[in-house]
Amino acid sequence: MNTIMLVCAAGMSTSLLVTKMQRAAKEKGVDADIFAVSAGDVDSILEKKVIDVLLLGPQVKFMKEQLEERLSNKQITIDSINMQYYGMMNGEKVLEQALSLIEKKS
Amino acid sequence: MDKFMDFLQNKLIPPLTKIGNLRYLLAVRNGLVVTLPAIIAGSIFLIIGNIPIQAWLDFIKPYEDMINVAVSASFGIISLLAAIGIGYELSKSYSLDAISGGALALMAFIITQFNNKFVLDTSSFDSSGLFTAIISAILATEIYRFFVKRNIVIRLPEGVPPAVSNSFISLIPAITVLFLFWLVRVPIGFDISAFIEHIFSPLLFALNSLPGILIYTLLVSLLWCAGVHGDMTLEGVADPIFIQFLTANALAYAHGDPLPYITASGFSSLFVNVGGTGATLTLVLLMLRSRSKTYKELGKVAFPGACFEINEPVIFGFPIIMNPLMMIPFIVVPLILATLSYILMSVGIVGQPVTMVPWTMPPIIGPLMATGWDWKAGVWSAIEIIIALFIYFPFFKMAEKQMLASEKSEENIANSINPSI
Repeated sequence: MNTIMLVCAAGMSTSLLVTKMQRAAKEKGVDADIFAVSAGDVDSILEKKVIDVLLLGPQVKFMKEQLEERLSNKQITIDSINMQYYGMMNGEKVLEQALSLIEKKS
Repeated sequence: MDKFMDFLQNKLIPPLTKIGNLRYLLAVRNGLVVTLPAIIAGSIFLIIGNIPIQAWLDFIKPYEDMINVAVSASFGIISLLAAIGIGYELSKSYSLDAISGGALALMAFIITQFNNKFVLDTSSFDSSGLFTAIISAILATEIYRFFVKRNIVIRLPEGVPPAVSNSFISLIPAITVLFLFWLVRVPIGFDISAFIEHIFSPLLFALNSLPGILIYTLLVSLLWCAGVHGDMTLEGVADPIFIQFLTANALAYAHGDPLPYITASGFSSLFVNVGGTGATLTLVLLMLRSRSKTYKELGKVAFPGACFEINEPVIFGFPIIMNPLMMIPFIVVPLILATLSYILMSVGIVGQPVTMVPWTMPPIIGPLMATGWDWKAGVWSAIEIIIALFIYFPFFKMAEKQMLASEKSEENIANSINPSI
């Protein structure tokens, strides 16, 4: 099971992308748990859930450094979503990005 | 233009995002989230109590005081909730027991609200005490942290349930917070609350003025132009102020008094940035009718979100960011809409925001609800879309022309590679 968490300011625009990614995952037959949260909820979710990769919306890319520092003791890859794919809400490409990050890790 | 882009990316944006990432401002931002359900719930009572149908207003009149209880119990305790929320969030960020931090913050705030006759004055529990709540919460949490960091705490032997031992860990900090705030407020007699509100009053004044709100609007747009979430970055500073304006308006509205503020929460999200920051709803409408395949596709992707003020697809997909051509209307439209809305509200043609409406409320409906059903606000919102349409139109046409040309050349290449298609 691949757990992918998307983060943006309010978790709104990333949630649009989540539906597209879930559809892409289903089509490809990839077993993945994909969800979006707001920046403020990151910590409380991480207390409850183990995630493989955390993808930031490009508009909150500036949080990357801070998050990496704070989550350094956890095995989580953090990256920001490619702007073009984000703009076009390209679920397939972002899913690919997430899966390749997970692959790289293991 | 390159110089300007360079200035934007290297000079303006980094310090602003740094400010947005400051621990205290993050705690304020996240802590204020706790107040939102209360504000929105209180707003529902306000909206229901003021539906502009005469028969309804006549019917509800005798119950006005009863309804106002619900308004006072929500809008009227915003600062209490903020103190708890900010104390909680700041403690959490220091890995301290969060709820103890919230409790300490609340206690500190309460002490500041006693009057000179040593009677608790609840009048500033509403948003007028918000800055006192913020400062009290920060000070109380810092005192808490001071003792825990130096290990000056009462520790119970292992095996004692964590809930019990946590309450003992915060015991010495609690005594200190209580004593210090009490010492300053009661024996010394220094009015902490009045002092803090006095310090922040210029900021309140500035953001309710036309130049102030224009600077704020400009900064938000500029940040987005560099691909940074502008509203979120400035939230820690701006939100306490806009929420304070809104709740003050709401309480005045409930009591039939003149409304004190124009740029209350909702002014930016509902009146300035129609369809998301930069008022990009119109750009989406233009794309839906575009002859360019790319834009038409993007228009379809972006339209559902744009109706609910979500416009990341437009900003990153069009793209607006670092696009000198589209940055012009993206910056100019909000400034024009802010100026016109401000003037219309200050001369009393369009109503001021009195209730908290989620920022995702669609245009026309959002302004209608936020102003307590002022039909002119709905009409104005529709006119705003038309104004934005006219300004975006020439820029969109230029972008479309470039896009059509590049689509065509791509097509030609594809055809020359595989002429049978």
